[in-house]
Amino acid sequence: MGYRAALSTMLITLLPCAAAAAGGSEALGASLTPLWGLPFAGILLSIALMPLLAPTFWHHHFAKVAALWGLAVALPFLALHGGAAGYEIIHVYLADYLPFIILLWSLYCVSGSILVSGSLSGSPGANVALLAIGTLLASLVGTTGAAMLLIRPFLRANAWRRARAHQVVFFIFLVCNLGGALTPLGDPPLFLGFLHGVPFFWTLALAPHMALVGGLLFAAFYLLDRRFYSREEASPPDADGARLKIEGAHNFLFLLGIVLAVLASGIVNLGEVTIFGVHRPIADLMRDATLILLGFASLKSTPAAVRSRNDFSWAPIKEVAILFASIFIAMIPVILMLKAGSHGAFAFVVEGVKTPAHYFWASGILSSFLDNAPTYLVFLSTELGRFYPGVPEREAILKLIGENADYLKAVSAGSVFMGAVSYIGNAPNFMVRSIAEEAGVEMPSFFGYILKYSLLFLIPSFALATLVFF
Amino acid sequence: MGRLTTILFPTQFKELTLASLERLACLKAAGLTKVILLNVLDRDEVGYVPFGGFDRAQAAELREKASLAFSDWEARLAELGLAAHHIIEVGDPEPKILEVAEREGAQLIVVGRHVKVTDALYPTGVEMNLLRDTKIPVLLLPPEEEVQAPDGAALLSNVTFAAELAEGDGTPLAFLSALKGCVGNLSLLNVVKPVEVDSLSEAESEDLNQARREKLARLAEHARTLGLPAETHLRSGVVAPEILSFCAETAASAVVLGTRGKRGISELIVGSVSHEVAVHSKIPVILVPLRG
Repeated sequence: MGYRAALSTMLITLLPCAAAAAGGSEALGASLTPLWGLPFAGILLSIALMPLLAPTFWHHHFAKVAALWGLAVALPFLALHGGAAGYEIIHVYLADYLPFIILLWSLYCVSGSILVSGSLSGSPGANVALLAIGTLLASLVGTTGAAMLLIRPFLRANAWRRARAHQVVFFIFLVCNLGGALTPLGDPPLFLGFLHGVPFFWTLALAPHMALVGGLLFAAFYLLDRRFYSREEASPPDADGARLKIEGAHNFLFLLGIVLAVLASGIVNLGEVTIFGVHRPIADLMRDATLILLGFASLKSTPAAVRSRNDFSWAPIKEVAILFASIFIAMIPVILMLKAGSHGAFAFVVEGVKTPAHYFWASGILSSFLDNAPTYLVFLSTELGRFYPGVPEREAILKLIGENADYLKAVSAGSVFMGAVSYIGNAPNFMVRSIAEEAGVEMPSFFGYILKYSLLFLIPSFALATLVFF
Repeated sequence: MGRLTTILFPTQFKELTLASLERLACLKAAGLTKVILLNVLDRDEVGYVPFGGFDRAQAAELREKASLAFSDWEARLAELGLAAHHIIEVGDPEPKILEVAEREGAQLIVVGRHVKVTDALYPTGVEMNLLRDTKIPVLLLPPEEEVQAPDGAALLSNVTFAAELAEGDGTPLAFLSALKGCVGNLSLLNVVKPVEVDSLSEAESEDLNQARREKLARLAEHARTLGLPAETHLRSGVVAPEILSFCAETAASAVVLGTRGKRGISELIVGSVSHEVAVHSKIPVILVPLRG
């Protein structure tokens, strides 16, 4: 049988079963063994280790490596569990992956079309102000968007300074991670939570946590930067009358459009359609279509020269799209097992992680090294499996918020904040590192970043947050 | 424009080689004194390692390789009596080339045409995007395996200038006058599109041709006042193929056109004669921007 005929047969067999399989997730999760989690561990470890051990190979072959891990789950999963597996794969792509990547893409296009130029002084006060703007902006335009918008002006402002690594590290701490805590637009884990039923404005509940940790980090940064500033031998260059200028400012309207589109999708109920057996709210489909339109409108309405001067590149978003296409598939069995609660193979995880503090640190430590978006989903599922096994997900999440909100806050804060602990905790971390190194900043190594900065500044802040909130 | 003193020679060491560079030595007669060699390390190749950052080892290796090659080239250029230095930077190739050209005051950018661009509906690639965005004249060299210039012909020994018989023709002529020390023979060619004469009677068609001959004659007179030896030719047909056919018949060593930098939908729908000639020519093409 040719491969086309085989593919057609598989699809014809699976698609009708997909609809029937919608209700079988719990039973499927309870039937899986921990071995199904190996490809998920494999792809996350590949992302963690290969850039360190074989960066050139990884750069040229990461798509193949990711695809292998994805297929390592998809093929046996489909072969052994047929329609039920087919449903889960189609569901994860339609309900999670596509909305996730469409949001990231639209925010990336729009923020990449805004160019901030002009003279900034590179003094500690100005740096704190710029970091504060970026931190707050991150919740509106996403951590990736805010980082791409501000990292080059930040580097230019401080180009005359000798000691700059600490500035970029705190940029990663604040703009690339902490700043994304307040809305689902801010950080991918929170958007995934929103897609799964967490109300749009619920994440504002993390404001006190963000204020405490942020306050400590800003204070630490100011003192550190002031110390380095006082030792600088050079003086800041003359401002030469070059005022701060924003080109492509009309894109802020598109950003507002993105915020409103996401918000509306969480409020408006326009019914559902069924696509390949998966129920999809029409409001969600309209949101995704709107985001795509806004992204293209930004590209079309902004001169290419603006993006060119912003050193805009498609490479980072392409890489994230390719990697996450496999991460989401590899994650399916793990999520199913966790949602099965004490009936599943990961009952020891569900039962071992007990208090909000446990969840904060467990989701946080794993988010530090294993990209925070899938980690958030894993621990959200752990909580749902612990407290509400067998309850439909959206209903379970609302119950969690109503009865055990501290647990959700713990996982949300842990996943978002601790993505800052290493270069690999969150996608914008590596983008900012790349841009800074290209600009000549001597960034610390992978372990240097953790030992000299994360352990010294982040961990004590998180410890205090645990004592205060969890 | 004054004399041509500085050219920018961006290369990825694929389309353009030392042999291409040596052909440019004839421009010394036009005043060329300096060649800037440029290699742009594509940011997407060395930066944004997924979850890794900047691949410093790869960037250093590429810099070293480029630097060694350029050292040889600079030595050869010195033998030919030309000053040269090299620049290696990380960035997006096309904007970086234009940025360096402006920064270094280059008056001509020399690029090689990629072999595969010929069959594309909308040719892309660094060299094609450069033609669309440049404000500086570009000399586009065909892939070496396609070159049909007469053996040993100096670059500008027999130049064809495809004129539109419009106001913009002055700009390419002014550029050519800066090269007059190298220009041997100059053919001013204008191609009439059949659609312009199809609906005309024989008498009207002859009147149109006569008007064109007169305009061409005035253009040739202007070229001679600039010190260029010009002869005129009028043809009819589909413009780009007719220009290429003329160049082949007359064994032209290079063809010069003005370009308006059309792109996107307007280029797809309306077409661009300059880009079509640039893509299909087997001889060097000089495109002179008619804007900015």
